[in-house]
Amino acid sequence: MVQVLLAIGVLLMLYNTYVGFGLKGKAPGGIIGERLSQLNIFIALFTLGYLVVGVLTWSYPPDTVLVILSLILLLGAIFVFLVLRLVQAVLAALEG
Amino acid sequence: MQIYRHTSKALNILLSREERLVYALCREEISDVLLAERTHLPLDVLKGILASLLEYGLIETVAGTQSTPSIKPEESDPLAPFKAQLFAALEAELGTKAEKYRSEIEQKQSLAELEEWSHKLVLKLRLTISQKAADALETRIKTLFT
Repeated sequence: MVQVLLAIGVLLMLYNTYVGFGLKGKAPGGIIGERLSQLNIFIALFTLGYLVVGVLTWSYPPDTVLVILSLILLLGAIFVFLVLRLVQAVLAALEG
Repeated sequence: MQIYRHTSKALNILLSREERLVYALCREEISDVLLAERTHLPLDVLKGILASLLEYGLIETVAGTQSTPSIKPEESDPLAPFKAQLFAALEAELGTKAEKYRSEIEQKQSLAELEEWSHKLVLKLRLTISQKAADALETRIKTLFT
């Protein structure tokens, strides 16, 4: 259970990293571009964090704390995904 | 393109509705292109009205690219000077990147459309390219459309 949640979280964060750096190409500067640079750095760091947590807790026996931790991490990854979707939508609106 | 404004002569003659409209708009310096856009009058009618107002001495030519206050009705694109100035402003701020906006500028059919597009472009630049360039372009656009 914990491993599955962590794996989904890590995969989502890897996807977020890919999307985040892809969006940077569409907004190289300006307000969105500057904020996106900062956002991408944090996304990369968090992805690394997810991986580290996954590796360190992989062999741990599942308990309530670990389940809560992995759920929080997964929800964090979903939050980042939604923020990036919002940025994508704003950029699409600006293009149109 | 000609630019007109009021003279100091008092308005003591009866003007037609259209003449009053054009006269009122000439309170501040305004180009013939902008007058045509704002009054929605055909160019030949506007030309006649401007000629009358000039004859009455109610307005004067401030600056222009022609020696007479006439507007060529056969001119294919009365927005050409605006488009050229807008593109020059874009080129000054964006350099060669401005080229990709040329076709979009050329497609605009009216001054209002061109102005709206310019403001959208400023917003886009501010959000995705450069705030500095957007500020500079906004200043130029304000000058161009007032």
